[in-house]
Amino acid sequence: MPAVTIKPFEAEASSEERGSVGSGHGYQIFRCGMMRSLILDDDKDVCEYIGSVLQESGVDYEIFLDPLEALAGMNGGKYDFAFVDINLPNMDGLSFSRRFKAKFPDADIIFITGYGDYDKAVQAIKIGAYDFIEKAFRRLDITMCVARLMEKRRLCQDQKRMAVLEFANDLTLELMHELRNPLAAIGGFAKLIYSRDYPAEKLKQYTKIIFEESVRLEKGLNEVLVHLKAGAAETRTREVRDGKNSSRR
Amino acid sequence: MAKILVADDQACVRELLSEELISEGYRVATAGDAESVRGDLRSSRPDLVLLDLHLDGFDGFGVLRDIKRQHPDLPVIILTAYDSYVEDPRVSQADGYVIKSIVLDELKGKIADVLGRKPSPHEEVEAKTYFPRFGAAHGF
Repeated sequence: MPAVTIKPFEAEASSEERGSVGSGHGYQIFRCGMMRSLILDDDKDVCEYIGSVLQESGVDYEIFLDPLEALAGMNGGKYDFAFVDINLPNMDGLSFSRRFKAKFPDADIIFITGYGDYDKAVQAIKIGAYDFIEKAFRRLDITMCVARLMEKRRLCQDQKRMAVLEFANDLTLELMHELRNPLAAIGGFAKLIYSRDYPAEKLKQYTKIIFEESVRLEKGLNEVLVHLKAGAAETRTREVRDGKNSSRR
Repeated sequence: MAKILVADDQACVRELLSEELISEGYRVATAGDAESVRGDLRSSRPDLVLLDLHLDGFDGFGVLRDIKRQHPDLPVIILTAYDSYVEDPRVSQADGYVIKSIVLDELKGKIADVLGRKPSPHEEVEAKTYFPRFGAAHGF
């Protein structure tokens, strides 16, 4: 495990609104609470340069200078994306990225490439890298990359939210059907029985329908409960997972 | 009195609606699946169809489309437990949309409204057959 080095950026990091630099597993960590990125490059200046841009974009980051240290240090948290040097000591960037993606499948990887790394960059994109930036990049390159990532994340979240809403809508419709049908039958036959004079055989037949539809109604209500409990359990699991992540920040 | 075809895959719903509609003075035929609906349209020649949107696995809108294609003047009221379909554009093919309920006042009102709005196809045929001059004078 590397020694934790805290190196505040000049002119920043003192205000809570702007975020704070604190301790953690990486060489340097910045926290402000929106998204979280890992930065892995053996060139400290490159890491700090990317970190300063992320800080301006309101992104938490954790810097690692060595892939083995990164693998050892990234176990406790969740990352939304990672800037990874494609040429690293001890382990190449592609191998690290495979292991990183196995742990954080939803995270996006942006490779930092040098001049002439075009073939590697293409291979990286093929294995699922989101993008790559070529040294020497400008601040605008990183800012634009982060903006695209944030937009992609926002769209994904919107899609997930829409999918949940559609599921809830479909479920509600199905449940309404399952409950309304027996309820209409129970009420309708009860009204017939009390408002008319039926022979005993007919009364028996209608009472049987009321009983059968009551059983169906109860079954429908139990299905509602099962769905609600399942939904509540899933929400709790998500809250616990997200809470764990946010408490780590 | 007008004849109503009740098309619903649930026997108890068909029984309930038959009782209620007969007591209102209508004649009633029932069908539990799409095939029976097609048969009853030929044999019973109803003046109005009450159509559930789930007929034993068949898509009720498909049945509605078939009815309207073969009997464009035959009124159809959709009677369903789903209230969301009211926004479905296919509903516009029907002459009414009523949500299943314990109280059948809305359904009865809609039936009376639809049947009262225009002469039934069979009354129309009878008018043409037996009162050709009257029919012609009134645009039949």
